[in-house]
Parts: sequence; structure tokens; C-alpha cells
Amino acid sequence: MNLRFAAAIAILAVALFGFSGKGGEPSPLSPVPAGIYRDAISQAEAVSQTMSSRDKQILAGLYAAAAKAVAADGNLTQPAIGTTAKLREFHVAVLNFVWRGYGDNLPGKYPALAPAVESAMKRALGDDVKALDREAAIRTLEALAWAFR
Amino acid sequence: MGISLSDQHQGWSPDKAATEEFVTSLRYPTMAEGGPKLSADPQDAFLYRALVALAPNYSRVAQAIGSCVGHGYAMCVDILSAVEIAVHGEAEDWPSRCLEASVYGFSRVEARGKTRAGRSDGSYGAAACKALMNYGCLHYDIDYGGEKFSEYSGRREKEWGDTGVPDKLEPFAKKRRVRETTLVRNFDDCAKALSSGYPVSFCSNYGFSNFKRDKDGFCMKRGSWSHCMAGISSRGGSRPGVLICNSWGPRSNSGPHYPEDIHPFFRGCTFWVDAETIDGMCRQGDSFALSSYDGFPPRKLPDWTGGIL
Repeated sequence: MNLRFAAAIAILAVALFGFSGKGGEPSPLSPVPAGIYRDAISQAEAVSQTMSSRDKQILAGLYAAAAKAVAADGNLTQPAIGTTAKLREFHVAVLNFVWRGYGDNLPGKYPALAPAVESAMKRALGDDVKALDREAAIRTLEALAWAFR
Repeated sequence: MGISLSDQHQGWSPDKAATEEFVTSLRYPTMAEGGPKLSADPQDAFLYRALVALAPNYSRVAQAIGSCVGHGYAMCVDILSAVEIAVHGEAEDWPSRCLEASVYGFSRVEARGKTRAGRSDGSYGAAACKALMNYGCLHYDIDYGGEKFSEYSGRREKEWGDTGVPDKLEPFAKKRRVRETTLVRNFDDCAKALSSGYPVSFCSNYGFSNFKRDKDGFCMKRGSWSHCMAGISSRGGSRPGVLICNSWGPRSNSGPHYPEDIHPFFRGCTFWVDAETIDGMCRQGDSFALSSYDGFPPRKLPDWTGGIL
């Protein structure tokens, strides 16, 4: 499965699940994070208080779906997302399609958003190109979904 | 599969005395010293999966000269470095394939203390081990002071097999060494090594049947190949064996395979060999397990969000 296809699955999942919940309610797809994952998203949680409920819904759905897609990818014989570099590629593709494309949002709409997501990903997964710790990646994405609930 | 066997497909030129001398010089001459606590129970260990997890489009072309020793050991380096990253979690990067010519050239010239080795082909396993341990290796697509190797070249192998690896490249290669090699003496040794994540390179004169695998994915011993091939997985169960990767290109074998979903490149160039045949190959005294590769330091991601948010 290539990354475009993985991104398509994530987007489909967003379409199916991401926008069906009520704003402000925790998504059933995003469990409450704990430990380092809770710490990692502290900035994202703060930023989410400044965002519109539609934009929060988009990101909550996006990250919940991305977590599902990364988990499903791990069940394949030949996973497409085997390294942090591939996860970044997938993450940027999904943000581009969903946040910018579907959500029609421009970069910098919320100045603190990109640093908050960067911080979460870096704190939980580091910034080295290396083999993916899939469980950590899934939990980080789920934590971000929860932060934007 | 259309392969007409000739010298260019082989290239194992054993040197029994030099090999014995090399083995006695090793810190862990045999698996008895190198892995006394490793499990001898043969089990399925598909090491190639670590490699394709990091390099989904992994492939190699067929050897063009009698440089099988360079190819067999380069494949083992790729497997070893991938296992260290993907399975053992070492903080290293897997940037590209090991350059066969570097192992081959070092094994013929520098590792034997020569300045020229002539235009003939061939090398042996212990020389490749010595090359990797003392001189290291190069990789494709890495910038070595303005020189980069993007394509396989039999001509390069022929040149470096005569003159050795160019001096200006040796400092780069020396950063990428294999720290330990150990003689494997039988299938049990191989199963111990492979199931622990250490590939095995086999040098022997055993040939195999027809390039066609049987219903279980095995090829039977038939004829004679003076050849080096990489052992990249092990298998337990009712018919234990080692998965051998040949260097005759990605379409050199056909037939059923195990596991059924094996990666396309490895489907086309690998076959299983029964335990008793592995015993015979090992008895020829020039097959080694490899461990502890000095891999590439990790690169940094530019960011996580790509300027989208």
C-alpha cells in the first residue's frame, strides 16, 4: 500500500467518522491519553481552546482516522509506513488533503497550531529518521485527536 | 528461467589455509564461543522482512562477473543493518544498499595485503569477512567526497577486483565495518545465528536444481556451483532450512514459496535449502555469520507538519 492510498483511507475514515460527533464531545475514536502522550499534547490542548469548533472537528477526525490507518498499515505484510520519515510523509499528505484541501484552511490560520503539533510529534516520536515505533505513533495520533476533541 | 550457467555466475575461489588462519584469529571463531546461549531450536525467522520494512522497493541486479562473494556479503550487510534498526531498535539510518564492488575489491586486494590481484575473478568468504571487519564497505547513492555510485557496474567490480578500492574512498568505507564474524559449522549454528538476527553468507561448491522450487519452496542439491550466496532467513517445523538469496537477478527462481506472501524481489531470487544440505555446505569451511554493523547515524526529519498548518 503506498502512502497516497493510505492517505485516501484516512480521508475516507474522516468522512465516515470524523465529522459525525458533536463539537466539544470526546470522539469514541480518541481515548484519553496518559503519561508522555498527555504531556506531549499540552500545547495542542491549549491551542484548541482558540479554534472554531469546525476546525477542531476536522483535526480530531483527521488524527483519529490517521491513528486507525497507521494501525491498519501495521497489519499488512509489507507496511507502507515503516519509518518516521514515512509517517511524516503520510502526516503531511493527510494534513494537506484534509486541513488545507477539505477544510480550506491556510497556513498560519492559528499561529500556535503548527508549533503545538510539531512539539507533540517531536516529544513523543523524536525527530530522527528511524524505524517506526508503531504503538507510539498510534498513541500520539490518538492523543492529538483527543486534544482537538 | 533462462539462465545459462557460466563463470560469471559463480566466483568462489577458496583458500583453505588462509581461511583457517583467519578463523583462528577471530574473537569468536565458532558459534560455540560466539553464541553459546543462542537457541538451537530452528524456528521461522524472516530477516528479509526487516529490510523491506525500511526499503519497500529493495532490489539488486544480477552479478555481471565472478563477484558472487561481493554480492553475497553485501546482501548480508543490508540484512544485518536492517535487522539492527528495525528489530533491535538501534538508532541508525538505512540509506541504501551496500555496494558489492567495495566488498569484492577489498576482499581480493587490501584484505590479502596485495596491491594488485589481477584481472581474474573470484574471492572467498574469509577474505570478505576480513574486508568487512578491517576495511568496511561503501553504499550506493552516498556522496563520497564528490563521488557517488548510483548504478551497479560489473566493470567497476573488475577494476576494483584488480586494484582494490580507490584509496580516497577507504576512509569512508572504514566507518561502515562489521565488528564480528563467526564460522558456522552446521545447520544448528546457522539456525542459531539467523533466529537471532544474524545473516549467514555461504561459500561452497554446492549447486541446486533447475532454478525451480518444489511445493515447499525448496531447491535440491544438484551439480556444482563454486558460489557464494546469502542466508537471509531460517525455518523450523517439519522441514527446517535456510532461505538462500542468490545473486543472479530478481527473476532467477520460480515455483511455490514460503511464506506465500514473500516480497516480490525475494520471491524471484531465493529458495529454501534443507538442513542436511546446509550441513554439507558448512562443512566446506568458508561460511560465516555476521553481527554488529557500524551503521549510519540517523538523519533528522525537517519537521512534522510540512508547513501545512
